[in-house]
Amino acid sequence: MADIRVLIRASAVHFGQCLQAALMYRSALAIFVVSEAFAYAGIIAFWYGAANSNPNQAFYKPMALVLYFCLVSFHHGIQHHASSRDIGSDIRLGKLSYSIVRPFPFLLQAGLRSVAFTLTYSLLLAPLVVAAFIFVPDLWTTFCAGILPGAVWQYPVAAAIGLTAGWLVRMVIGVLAFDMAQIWGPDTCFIALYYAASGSVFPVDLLPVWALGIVKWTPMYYMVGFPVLTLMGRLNPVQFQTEALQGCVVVTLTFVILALMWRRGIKVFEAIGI
Amino acid sequence: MTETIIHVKNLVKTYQTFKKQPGLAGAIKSFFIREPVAVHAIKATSFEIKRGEFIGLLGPNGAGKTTMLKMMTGLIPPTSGTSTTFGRFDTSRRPREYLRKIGMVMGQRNQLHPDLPALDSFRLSQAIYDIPQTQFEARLNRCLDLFQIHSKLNIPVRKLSLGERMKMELILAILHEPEILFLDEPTIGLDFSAARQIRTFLAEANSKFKITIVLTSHYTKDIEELCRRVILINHGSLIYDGPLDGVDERVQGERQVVVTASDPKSQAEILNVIKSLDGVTVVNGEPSDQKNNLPALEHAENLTITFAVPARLVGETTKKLLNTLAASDIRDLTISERSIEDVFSEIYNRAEVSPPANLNSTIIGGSK
Repeated sequence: MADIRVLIRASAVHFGQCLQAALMYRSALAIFVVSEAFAYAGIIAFWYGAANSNPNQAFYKPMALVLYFCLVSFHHGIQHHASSRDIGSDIRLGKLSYSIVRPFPFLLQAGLRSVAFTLTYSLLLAPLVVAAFIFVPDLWTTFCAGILPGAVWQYPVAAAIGLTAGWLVRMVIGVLAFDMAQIWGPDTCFIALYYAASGSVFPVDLLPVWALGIVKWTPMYYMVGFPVLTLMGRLNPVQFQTEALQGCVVVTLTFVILALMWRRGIKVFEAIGI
Repeated sequence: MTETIIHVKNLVKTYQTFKKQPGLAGAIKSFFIREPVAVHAIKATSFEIKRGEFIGLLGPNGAGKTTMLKMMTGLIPPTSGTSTTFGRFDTSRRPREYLRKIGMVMGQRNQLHPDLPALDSFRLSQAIYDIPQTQFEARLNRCLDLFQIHSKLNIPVRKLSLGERMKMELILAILHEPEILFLDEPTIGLDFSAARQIRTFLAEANSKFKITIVLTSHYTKDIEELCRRVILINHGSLIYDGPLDGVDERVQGERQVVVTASDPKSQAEILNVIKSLDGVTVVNGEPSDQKNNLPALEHAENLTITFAVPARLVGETTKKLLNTLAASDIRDLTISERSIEDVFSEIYNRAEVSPPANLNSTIIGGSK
């Protein structure tokens, strides 16, 4: 029990310090946010156009755009700042060494670091969201009208599954560094699949039914597609329950794979770079 | 009787790497077919360390001392053999209780968060090791007093000088009062003053706080001032384990004679004469030792011959040398005590050393 108390306290201190460290790079983060905002504007325009040109899809309300924007921001934040490349370089360049010889789990540190960076990133994006509410006509009324009172509990569940799946997959790729000189190969493959199957660059339900069926077997769908569709109210209760359960299976399997890879990898760790 | 705190038994580490032929063709070939090569970083090595000892783990670059240190801490697992601490912890398993009892500093790695002041890293350490606030403040102030770096506590680590950073690293490593401290070249790249402060700090940590310290360093000053016992490693094999005095006895008992010849012809003659003398060991000056093929006058150091001779024979040896050779053959001759660096160098070259009979040392044949 005392160990858990110490672990929680150390985690809180570490998380606070990661936030501090992230905020040290003010100008870099600001430039990054502005450049991302332009990228998102392009993606949203494409998405909006695609949705309206497809007679089979219902019209996407501006509220959905904002939700989509926020959620995908989280994932891009993870992609740029967090897990896989940081973990990979920690392992290959010997930066992992100190973490191994002190009683504070490395993967917990890596997870907290990515949460801190993602949170910083989303906080910096907040002014852009506020600006959208101010300048986009009727956004506020459509946003509030889009929230379904009976389904509010589904939103945090879906977001939690999406974020957890995202972090775990990135960590699994990072841990490949135990066996590979560079993880940019698998990382690039992952990003390609992520763009194609997650719904981060277009609404995933625009895919043909057969393609959507395949995509739902990949972890990428549960990283963005599932939470976004939930937030947009595009899944009925039965669909939500089924996909939430599948998302939990994905999270559990990814966690087990990560734990096994870590345990195996740490046995062959050579602490390169010292 | 002092407790054995680290017990290393038949520790072996073998890495697998790949051989690549030079050039683009080699790169293309190795893209498809790689020739695996086994690197025997550490061959079966055994020793024990007792509580409170200050051990120097020495060897030339690539000897395997850092690999040995990594296995002793639990940072990397051994290929075979065991490293046991406190009589019950297998270090390769890194049990949490064991990790709480050790500290580590690597001269070429940062444990401190580079973007934040050192105080933040100290606070994290306080949380991880659950150090009560009053104890934390007392220990920190004691360490800061020793190093006189109170004013640097709130400056981001990346803005600190190398010496200041290393002092902060050391403070971080002992804040939780570890029973064993592993140090990998903590004075690397430091100026004389900073290195001296760190040596003073380590000596106090060992004597006052009773921390067992295992140190690797290339600086003989660190070893001479701090270590009472040294373990020499070369090519992955332990070649000497005993008191530093055992090595030092060779320093005291031998003199180094450096003869500078007038020209290459004289040099060859001098070398022949030296080789014919009793009790003499040529350290440097063989044709294979010569640098480049530059003309002698452009490279005077090519004409020097260095040899070691027992102190009792130094008069007789030089007399014989001068009597045998013509005065014009010798440009310069100096006699000095051998430095500990020279002795280490000789030991590495021979890969074995005979310890004084009265000292409880361990000698294991080298790989050469």
